[in-house]
Amino acid sequence: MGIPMSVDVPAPPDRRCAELAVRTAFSRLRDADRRFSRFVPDSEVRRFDAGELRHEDLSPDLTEVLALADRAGKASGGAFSVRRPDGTLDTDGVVKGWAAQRAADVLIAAEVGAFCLNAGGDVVTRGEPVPGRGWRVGVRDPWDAHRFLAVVEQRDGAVATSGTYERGAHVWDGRTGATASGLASATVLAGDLVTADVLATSVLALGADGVAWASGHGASAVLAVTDDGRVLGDRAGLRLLGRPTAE
Amino acid sequence: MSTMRWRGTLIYTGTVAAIGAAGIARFVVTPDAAPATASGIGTSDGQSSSSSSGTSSGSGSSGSSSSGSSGSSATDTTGGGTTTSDSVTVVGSVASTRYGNVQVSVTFQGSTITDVQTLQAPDRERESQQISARSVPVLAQEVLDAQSAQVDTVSGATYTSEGYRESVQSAIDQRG
Repeated sequence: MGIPMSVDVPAPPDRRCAELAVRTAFSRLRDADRRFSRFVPDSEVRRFDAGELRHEDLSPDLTEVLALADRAGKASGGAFSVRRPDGTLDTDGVVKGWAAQRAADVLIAAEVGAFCLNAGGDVVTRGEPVPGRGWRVGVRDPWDAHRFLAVVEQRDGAVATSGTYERGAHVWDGRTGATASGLASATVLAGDLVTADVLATSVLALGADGVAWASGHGASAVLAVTDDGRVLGDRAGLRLLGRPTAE
Repeated sequence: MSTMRWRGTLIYTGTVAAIGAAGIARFVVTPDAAPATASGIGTSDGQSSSSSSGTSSGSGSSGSSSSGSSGSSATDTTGGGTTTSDSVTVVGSVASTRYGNVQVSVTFQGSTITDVQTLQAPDRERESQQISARSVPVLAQEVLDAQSAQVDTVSGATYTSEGYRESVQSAIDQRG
């Protein structure tokens, strides 16, 4: 399984610098993968989970991710959890957004100009792909893959979507240990992808109540689709609902 | 690689495992003017050893690290872009998904996508067949509609379709 990543840098002021920055950004992602993978037997996450590492021995990265997860857990009343129902440590709910945002930070620091980074459907954008308009991010309809629920046009920002439609119920409610139910997908816009990704996962775990909750925890807009096909959103989210394609 | 004027899009695609797989580390640098079939596409591979000509297909994501998928050879046979009159067909990288390999080709007329063909789709297991039977035709349609909606990128919680779209995306990316 791989999550596809792509970076689009439409007009870098310095091409060599941009190439280097993109390479660095991707190596950051690979580093994160090695550190956090549940599938690599000697990854730091696996070793910590197995009790081979103490808390104080952890890398700053893992410490930061666990702190993020902890904050998200508290903020969501326990719905967000990096402990799977069987007790194993699974940082995937935080790491993808965190690692992708870090990769985006490399590009920002290198001043590559406008860019769009897409990591498995989670998106960070900066600037304008063409002068005069922001990046257009289509938010997929969970059942009808050839339609978009909304098209978000934004310059600087992040969009994350969590859903059950491809991976099945892979998000669980940390309060009950049951797999999350009620929502087919949740999309959150925020200033950064760390926030957006954690919130999107939390909304999926919380269910319909998560929409208003995320709105009060750093989301600039929230959209969710219930299992029975209703679209929920906060005020900003509902404003995004368009009919980009013929209806 | 070769010297080229810089303008246009610098696109970098890769796959990172678990949170992602073996990155492919391929740069596709699109010089101005030139549609993808032309020269001047710099390819520098980190891990894969493709020396693709022109735009061509990716040795890309699939061959990746661990699982060693078999699909990527198919790309070689298709040999990348085909051009007839104004239309350009670009073969996307093979994308590995949990359900199998996915690869598509995309035909452009100018900057408009006019056709999407599925070259490989998952069919290994019954479950996969059910999934792909439902999702593959729809996804092909999606690309066309994505064009009409003029989106730059897609946010979605994805697995099969992301692999699929990634393959389409990589075709689009390689076209530049």
